[in-house]
Amino acid sequence: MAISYRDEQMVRRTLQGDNRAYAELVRTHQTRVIAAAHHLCGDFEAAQDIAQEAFIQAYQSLAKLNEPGKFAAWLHGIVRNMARKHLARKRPQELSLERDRIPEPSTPPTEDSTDTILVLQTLPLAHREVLAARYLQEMDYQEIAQMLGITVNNARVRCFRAKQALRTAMAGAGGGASG
Amino acid sequence: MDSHEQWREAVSAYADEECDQDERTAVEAHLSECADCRQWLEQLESDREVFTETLTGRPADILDAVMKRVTKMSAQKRVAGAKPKPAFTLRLAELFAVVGICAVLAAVLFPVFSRGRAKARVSSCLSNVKQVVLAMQMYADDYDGHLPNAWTWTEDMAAYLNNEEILQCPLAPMEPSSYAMVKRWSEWKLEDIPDESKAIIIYDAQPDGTPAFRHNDGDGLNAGFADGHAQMLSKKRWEELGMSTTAVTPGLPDRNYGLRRMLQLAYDAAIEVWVTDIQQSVVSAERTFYECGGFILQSSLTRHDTPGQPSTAQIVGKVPTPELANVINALGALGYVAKREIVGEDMTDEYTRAARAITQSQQKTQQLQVRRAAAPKAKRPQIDTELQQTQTELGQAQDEVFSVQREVALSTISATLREKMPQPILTARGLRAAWAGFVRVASVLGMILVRVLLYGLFFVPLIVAVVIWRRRRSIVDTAREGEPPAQTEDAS
Repeated sequence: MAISYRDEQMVRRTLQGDNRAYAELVRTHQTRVIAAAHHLCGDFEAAQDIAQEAFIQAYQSLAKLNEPGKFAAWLHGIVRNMARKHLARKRPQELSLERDRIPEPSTPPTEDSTDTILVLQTLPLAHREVLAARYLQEMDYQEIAQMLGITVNNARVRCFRAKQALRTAMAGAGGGASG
Repeated sequence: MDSHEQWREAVSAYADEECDQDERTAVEAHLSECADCRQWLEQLESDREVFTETLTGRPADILDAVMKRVTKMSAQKRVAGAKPKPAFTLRLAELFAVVGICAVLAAVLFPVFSRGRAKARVSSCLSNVKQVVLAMQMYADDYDGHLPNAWTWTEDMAAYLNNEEILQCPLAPMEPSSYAMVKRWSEWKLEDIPDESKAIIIYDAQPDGTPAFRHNDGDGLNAGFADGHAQMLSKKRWEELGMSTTAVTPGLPDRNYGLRRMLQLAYDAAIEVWVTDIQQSVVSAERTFYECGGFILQSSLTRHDTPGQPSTAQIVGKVPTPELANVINALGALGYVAKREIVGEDMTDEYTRAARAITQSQQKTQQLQVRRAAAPKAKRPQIDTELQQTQTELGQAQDEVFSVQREVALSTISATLREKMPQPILTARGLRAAWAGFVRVASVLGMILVRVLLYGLFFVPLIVAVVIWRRRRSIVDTAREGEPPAQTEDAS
């Protein structure tokens, strides 16, 4: 994702005290942020809460954003941190159960999308993060590498692995294009 | 790129538009050949579509909820960092904290500094005393072993002190000096002083000569000894050395009314001087008059055997004007003190009578000599007797003239002194004192300015350090909150 001049402008206006500019930022990014949060934590309600908190925290720390043009990547970093925290809280009780439950093919999916989401939840967190960054936030390899603290080459390999895992999961669920 | 897996990875990067020019060409070439990889690419595109649509498909609107909270936060002005905060501003509280730290440091350090300053003053005062004592030894070397006069020593020693500041104790500068010379040793020969290493010559004193214990919290006085050493004495030690802590030796009359002044004012001066203690000095003073072409009008010596009252000699003399400077130097070197005014009378009649008597005697002598030459031998003894008598009369008349001349000279001088010595308002001493006062005030102001600058310099690095520290902390915070933490290799 290249530098967005529109985001940059909106961030600057927000810093000058114009809340409408921030509303514009929220409007632009909310769908993808919720989607990413949903994808990372697997719970739509929680995803909305996470997205809300992420926007609030972003607003509070906006002055510390060094490159306003990279607002989206920065915001995604916050979302990712929050999702991880959420998962860490949830893991001891629910996640272990869910993990056992989700892969069971015996549960008949009611809707296509719910089905697909459940399939996606079977992917490891590391793959989910890469997929969310690549497909939802449209971050390039360089940004992914920066976010994960790895080399660009490594990011490219991880993207490939995540896509492979996605393909396998889709094929397994029978929801994707068959190979 | 041999393996199938590697081609798939390359196709994945191709789909993400992350290939460089060469790789893209290679992948496109491969895709045209390899059906498997073409299918892989299609699957990637389709997976991406499904993925994105699935996740973004559900309608959700958190805009209102977020904006409600944002509006509330900005309304309450609790928006931390909503406005960019300049890195180099200190908030009021922080400024107070910095100033507080500075004040504490200053409070801790000032006593240390001032203790150091007090010590420096003691040693600087001691070094002054030592230098004065050495200068006195030099003075004695030049003046036949005699110390200067205890009442006028600051003036007598002027030529031996390059820097008049050494006459001042840094703690209590005063005119003419913060130190006093022990009166007992005034004009003594150094070699005559018994037990030199215990004989104090100069000490910290008040202007009236009372010893002043200025150092060591009121129990320290710097003293210089006849053998040339200087040290700080406690009250106890001072008394052990036979000195009184209260007694003040009375000084001679007004020093302004001094010999130099008198000599400068009289053109053909008669001089009256005081000499203390030593008869030898009277002789040398008289010799000085003669050597300078003058003569002694009157000379007397008064001996006092009572302790504390010095014996005095009085010399009244006359010198020609051109020799004044020589007399000044010679007498000044001997340490003489000029005495008060001289009362004179009108002696014109006596002078005339005496002068007439001389003339008569001289005429009579001439007549007698003529008669004697003409007279026969038998009559000569009688004439000789007459001649002898006349000579005696002549001598008496000359003595009388001499005495009259003396009286006249004294009256003249007395009148001159009365005329020419009105009490001056603007004296050299007054000017000196005013100048010294001005210098003192200026130096205090200068010291204050210098201190302010120094302390300022001392605080600047502190403030800069605080600012840099704050800035760094703010950068660290940004890195911690604003950007996601680096992830290590985990379950991939």
